[in-house]
Amino acid sequence: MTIEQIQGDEYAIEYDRAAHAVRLSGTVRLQTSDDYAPITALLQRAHDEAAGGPLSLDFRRLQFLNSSGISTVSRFVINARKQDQVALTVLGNRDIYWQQKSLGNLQKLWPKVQIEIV
Amino acid sequence: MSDTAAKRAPRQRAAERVAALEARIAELEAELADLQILYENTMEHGTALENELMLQNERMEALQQKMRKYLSPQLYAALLGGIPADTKSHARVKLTIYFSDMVGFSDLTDSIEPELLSEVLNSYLTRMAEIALAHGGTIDKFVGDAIMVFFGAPEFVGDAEHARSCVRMALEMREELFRLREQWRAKGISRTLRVRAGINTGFCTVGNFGSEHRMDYTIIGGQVNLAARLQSSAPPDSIYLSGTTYSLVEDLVEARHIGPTQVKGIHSPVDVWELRGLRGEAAAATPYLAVQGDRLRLGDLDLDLTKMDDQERAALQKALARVLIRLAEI
Repeated sequence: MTIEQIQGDEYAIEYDRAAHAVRLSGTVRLQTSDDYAPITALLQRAHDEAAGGPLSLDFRRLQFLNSSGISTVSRFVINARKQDQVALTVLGNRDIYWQQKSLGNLQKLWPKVQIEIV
Repeated sequence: MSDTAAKRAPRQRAAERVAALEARIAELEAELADLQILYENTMEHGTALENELMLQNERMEALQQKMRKYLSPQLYAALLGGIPADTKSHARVKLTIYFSDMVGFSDLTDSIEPELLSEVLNSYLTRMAEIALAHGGTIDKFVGDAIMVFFGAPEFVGDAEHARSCVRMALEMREELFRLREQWRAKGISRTLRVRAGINTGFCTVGNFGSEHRMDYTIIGGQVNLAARLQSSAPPDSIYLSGTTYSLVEDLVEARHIGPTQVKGIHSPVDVWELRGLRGEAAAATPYLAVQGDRLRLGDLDLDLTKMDDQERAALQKALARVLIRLAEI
């Protein structure tokens, strides 16, 4: 299957294998790192399958991400930096206030991450 | 193994352990640095969310202020306070209902610029709404230049009090209209805008009416229609009261008995009174003349003598006679 999806009540996370892209949409506000485990696993799978090439994380349709969520994404970026196997691009939406600051901060963890807030 | 070699082996192992420890420390330090950045990022993310929350709250506050202008106070309270705003809860309540309509406003719409028209209408409705709210009235609706206000719901005080507040409001509205006319004339509106009004008291059904998607807090019933009919029967610049309302305000107001009148849409004749003013102040009251001490203010005179009815003629004669008397007194 080309598209793999995690569907929550308020959110959807879609892994598009062909495009090497993970797209997040809706409102993600899970409570614990255990709750985030399936998302962490999906991100890791996308990372491993994109090894040697590009991988994009698309947040443009994600209205809300809580602190546990940004922590999960940050940990993923740290792991990706340690493995240094993908060219990671993060796409954000300038109309969503938190994305401008929080997605830009991912570069502090891995300066090679491309941040595109459009 | 020589003594030297035997001594070097533990030193080398110790050095290797130190190197391994140093490597581990470097690893832990790097991890700590990552965690520090992660912590800071998470904190900043939390702050960004809090800021966004504040912005959203400010937007909601601004939206609420806008909603106030478009919704009745009751629907506004229902939407914000969680009171059920459904179409099923209604009650039969005795209310006093006020209707007013501007005479000649439609003709004005064709003769002046839309910007000026909008200024006239908005200034009029804004002032009338302020007066209605100041007297405790519930503004039911504006339809063009027509105004509908009722007293007694959602807060019920007492039948007489509702009627008294309503007539006070109606008189103040008329006074305000006279003041506004002067402002409008200064802006170049030559046509005199007059208002007719009707007041009735009776049982109505009050509640939210409409669909689940669009509803109004309003009143319905035969007594509402009667108030509207009294308004359309009243001459320009006058206020008609039904007999029921008059009986509740008799000691407060001066009124002229018009008598049983056949009103369109109502089977039997309705006893009608014309509100002149509050007792004491009423002796001087005519729609054409306002007297305040030594200051006389004559209303705008734009009369079509062929269409003038007896009542209007009598009111004008009385006003002009009073002016002449006062002039002779000086």
